[in-house]
Amino acid sequence: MELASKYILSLTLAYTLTTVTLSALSENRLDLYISMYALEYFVFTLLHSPFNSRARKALDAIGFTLFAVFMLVVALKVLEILYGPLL
Amino acid sequence: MEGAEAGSKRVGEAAEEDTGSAEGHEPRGRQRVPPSYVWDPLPPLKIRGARGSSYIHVGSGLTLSGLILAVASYLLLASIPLTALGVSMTILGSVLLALSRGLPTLSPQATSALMESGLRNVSAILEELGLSSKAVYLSSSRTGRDPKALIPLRSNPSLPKPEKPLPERFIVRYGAHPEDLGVLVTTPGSLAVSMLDSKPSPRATDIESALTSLAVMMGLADAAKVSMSAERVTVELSYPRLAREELWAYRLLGSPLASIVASIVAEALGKPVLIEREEHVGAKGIIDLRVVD
Repeated sequence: MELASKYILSLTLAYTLTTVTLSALSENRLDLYISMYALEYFVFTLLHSPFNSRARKALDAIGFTLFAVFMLVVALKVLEILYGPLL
Repeated sequence: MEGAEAGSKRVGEAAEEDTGSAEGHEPRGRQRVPPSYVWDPLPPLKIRGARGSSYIHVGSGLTLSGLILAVASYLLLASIPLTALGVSMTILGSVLLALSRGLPTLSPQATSALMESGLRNVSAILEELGLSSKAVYLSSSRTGRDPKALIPLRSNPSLPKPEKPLPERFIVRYGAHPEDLGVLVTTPGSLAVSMLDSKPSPRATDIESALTSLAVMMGLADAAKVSMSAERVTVELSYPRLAREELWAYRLLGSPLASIVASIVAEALGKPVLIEREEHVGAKGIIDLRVVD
């Protein structure tokens, strides 16, 4: 199996397991799901590198977006700790 | 209409030139070639890939459905697990779209057929020219644009070590002596080097990482291990996937895999390199290179 197919298959499997496990545990925090997805994305992208330059640029853009979302989640958590529930 | 007019004008000009030359100003056989007939390099071949487009279709569908599911689940159903499922679908769709940009446009069978036909033609030319000396791989600093392989026309005891950059021609003179003539050919390695982000430094670790990333990216091997001394470089490839055939070109240039390795090593060291030995031991391919200095 080629690299791209392996990567997609592993990521799909990881996301499915995460979603099923967390929902089975009655987890209702969306930020936790998103943080886990971001973490898995970075781990599997690193494990299946290198990709060619065009694909890598696009994957980096997704990585930046996920990192920004993750930072937003962290920032909201910090604010929540400092000033109490925001929403 | 404008195009048609321009076309007819050009044909007219060509005809005028033909008439002019036919009127006796120039002898037969030395007629001027109309500008429209002058050979013009073709633009790079662009082929639309079926595999890339299937990734685009699936990726777009998954991204769009994921977004709809995420928004609807969050706002209408108030279900966090379903919203998370939508988010994960969106990420997977985006990843598919990203990967579609890097997929090869041709199937492995088509690529293999193109490469093999090219190599067989090169083999036929080299065999007809009666060349039997092994090729010396030169870095781009000595060949102009891409690293290339120089096959000496005569089997001299001394290997070619061109000091000045060689002209971008098929038959080149690489030294001061009359017998210092050779054939400069583009090899699979010449093009593979251009896939690297930057030129590797002459350290073994850098060459190893460049070779590994290229081998994995092109699906040629699982990993590469490099050991170096002053005059010799040994590259060990794990699970090499290109079989060696009995072609004349392979005798002179080495297998495509060895050619890629030699080109990268020559480019990294900035010195000519010769493939001395190439063998398969179990799941490993061993390529021994001699640095010509």
